[in-house]
Amino acid sequence: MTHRTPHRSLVAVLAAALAPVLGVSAAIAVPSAAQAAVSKANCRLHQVLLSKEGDGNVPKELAFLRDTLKNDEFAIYKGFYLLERKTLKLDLESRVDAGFGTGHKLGLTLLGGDDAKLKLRAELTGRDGVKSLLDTTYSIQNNGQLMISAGSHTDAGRSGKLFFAIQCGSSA
Amino acid sequence: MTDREPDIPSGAQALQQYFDDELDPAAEAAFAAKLDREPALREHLRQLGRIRELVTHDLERRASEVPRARFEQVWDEIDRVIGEEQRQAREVSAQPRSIWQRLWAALRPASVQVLAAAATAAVVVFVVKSMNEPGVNQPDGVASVPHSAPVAKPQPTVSTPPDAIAHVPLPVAAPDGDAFPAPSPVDAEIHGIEFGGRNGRISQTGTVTVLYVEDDGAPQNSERSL
Repeated sequence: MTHRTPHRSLVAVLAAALAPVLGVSAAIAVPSAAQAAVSKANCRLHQVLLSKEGDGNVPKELAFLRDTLKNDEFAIYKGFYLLERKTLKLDLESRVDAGFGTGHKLGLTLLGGDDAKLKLRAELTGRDGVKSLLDTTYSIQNNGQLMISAGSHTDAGRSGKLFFAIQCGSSA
Repeated sequence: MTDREPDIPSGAQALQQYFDDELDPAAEAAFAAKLDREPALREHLRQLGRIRELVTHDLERRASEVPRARFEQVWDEIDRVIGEEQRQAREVSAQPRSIWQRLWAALRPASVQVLAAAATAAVVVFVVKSMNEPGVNQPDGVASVPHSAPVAKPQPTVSTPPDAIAHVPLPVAAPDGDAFPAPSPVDAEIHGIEFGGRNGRISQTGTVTVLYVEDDGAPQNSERSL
């Protein structure tokens, strides 16, 4: 007999009705899991001059660096001066360059990562904007900071060492 | 049963029914007349009676040897076993099944429809995902600046040679550049590094990584993995 019970028909109808719902739900859920991989990042770059001459006070505009500058690595410096600040938006595998008044150019590329860690490439040129001083690939915790010292520098009569502070965080 | 007893002549079924008093009166009378005519049939009937007598006599003898109290125990045991089996049957039928068992039991009759629904869901997933992904063969942008990013005006403090503009995209301001949290006090993991200046070194303190480079001198390459 080919008799179909109402129960079977009901199951079939329910299955057919739920299929698109399940599909859309899965389509929403799968990308959210996959998007744990970072595709965009915001970065801020600070070019600072650290001098051995100064009162040891970290100015307000460099307050975010206060903990870093307390490190023994920077113990010899007493003067802290912000020269320039840049903010960059990075897309995956797309290099973005920032030029500074000193002539240096700092290129950043987001290579990947996840919500916890970013993989980046930093390329720094000399004062002529052409000669490569540094080309490095690194991973760092989200919103972690990498410091680059680019040699001696004098600005407004203050002499010291030129530093670049690179901080990047993933963005939606 | 009678078909398996070849020594019983035809009419054995009627003989058995006659022996068991299962024939209606007319058939019984007819069979009795047949018995009168056929001695062999009468002999079979006699043997049947003899067998029954032997069996019942033996059973009655054995039963008489069993005290009545023992019969009560036997019947109690039978009642107990039957009651236990009925209770177990009720428990099995009343035991709640898991949701997956019930779901499977409900879907099993319509497995084809369920498979079709799953296939439909897979197609919907594919289509929705395809709609979210950028298409291929996108038009090229200017240098490495993202397509959606607005081009910032050249900043006067940047001394960029005109011929380098195409290769050096200008920085794009983040919407909320001041919204950065305090830097995490962690070291960076350097995968590869190439120093172009005279000297270069890596300093890691546990809370910050500092890369030291010099702005002059011959290029110096190195590959390190820390």
